[in-house]
Amino acid sequence: MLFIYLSMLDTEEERLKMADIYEQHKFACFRVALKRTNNHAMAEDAVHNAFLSIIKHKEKYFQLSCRDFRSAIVIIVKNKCLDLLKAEKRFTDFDEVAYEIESDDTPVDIQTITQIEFENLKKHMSELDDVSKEVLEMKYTLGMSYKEIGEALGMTPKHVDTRIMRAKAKMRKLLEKEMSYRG
Amino acid sequence: MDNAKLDDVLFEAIFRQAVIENHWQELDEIPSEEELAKVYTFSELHNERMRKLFASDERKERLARLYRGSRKGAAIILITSGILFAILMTTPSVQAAVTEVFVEWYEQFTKFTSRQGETIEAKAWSPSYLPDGFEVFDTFATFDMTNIRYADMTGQVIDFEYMPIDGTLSVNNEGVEYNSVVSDGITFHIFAAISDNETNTIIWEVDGYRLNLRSVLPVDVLYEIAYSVK
Repeated sequence: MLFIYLSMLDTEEERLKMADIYEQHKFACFRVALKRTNNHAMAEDAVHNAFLSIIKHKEKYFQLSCRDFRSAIVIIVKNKCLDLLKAEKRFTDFDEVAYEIESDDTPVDIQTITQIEFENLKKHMSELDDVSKEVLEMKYTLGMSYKEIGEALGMTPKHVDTRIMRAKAKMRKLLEKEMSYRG
Repeated sequence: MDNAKLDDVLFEAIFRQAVIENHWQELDEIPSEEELAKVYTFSELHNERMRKLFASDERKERLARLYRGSRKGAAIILITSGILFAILMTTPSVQAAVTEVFVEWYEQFTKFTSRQGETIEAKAWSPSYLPDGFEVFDTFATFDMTNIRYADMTGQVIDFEYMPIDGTLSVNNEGVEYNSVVSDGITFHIFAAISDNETNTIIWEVDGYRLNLRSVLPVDVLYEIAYSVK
């Protein structure tokens, strides 16, 4: 007689990994989400949706260090916040509208960038709209392609490219203004 | 490279670095989880939702690992399992019984045969989880067998059947891969169709009953339903 008994046993490490990672980052993610949405329930939804995304591609994310994972999950949480706000029609890209009104299509003067301008650049980052900041972080911090960014945020690659170009142009204009005030 | 292009290149490099540094600065400004735990709390609804998310992921992982090592081809497998029935605290009519189940795998079908000498309490079984859109379509019951058909608007069906463990049940094993998963002390016998849109079957026994699910839905979905049956 042949006696065969099949069973699947999880290693303790495998079983705890996803829940353990969640415990390490849950409040940080929630804080980021709450700042974006200003709504407790929506922030919880964003955290849940972010970890749902992580689970779908966990082989990729499990290879990251704790710090790199924190970087990635924060960006994902911000994206989920944008999705939720758009769904509730609470999101309006005011900066985008304002930029189009002010733009006169005059080419930006070329200037030499110094360390002081670099610090000013960082300071003015907060004046970019949320969507543009997300696009820039996904491109420069996560190294995502325009296609990948577009798929994550529901845009075409062309739209992503336009966002980046406009963000750069806006930053350059802000720097010009600052330099002209200094004389 | 002229000055204009040099400035463009320089601006691009510094802009890129500014974005990256700004991002990491924002991350570094986030307090520790211990400090944040004093300020923020999650609702019970959220905690339960996250618990189910990880539990579901764990089950799917288990199933996926099982199929990576699955066996193919027809073989004669004899499985003997003992099932001890616990005496239910509120039902004095239930008597403990030991059931021996013999699973014999032949070329074209698999036969589950059992011997049981005691009576068991009548129970109604149903899944607590069903995929979105599925509802009870039809119910058919005889003296000891109950069949419930669930269907959705697209016409997909799930057949759920249960009966006291007694006698023989045969399952067509042509064109299927056989595996078994043990979870919470219950052995789920899984007959997964090799081709798409063919019927998957899961059979398991608990508390003196033999239950089975049949559907063309993916086997991991069927397993979720089987696991949820109470």
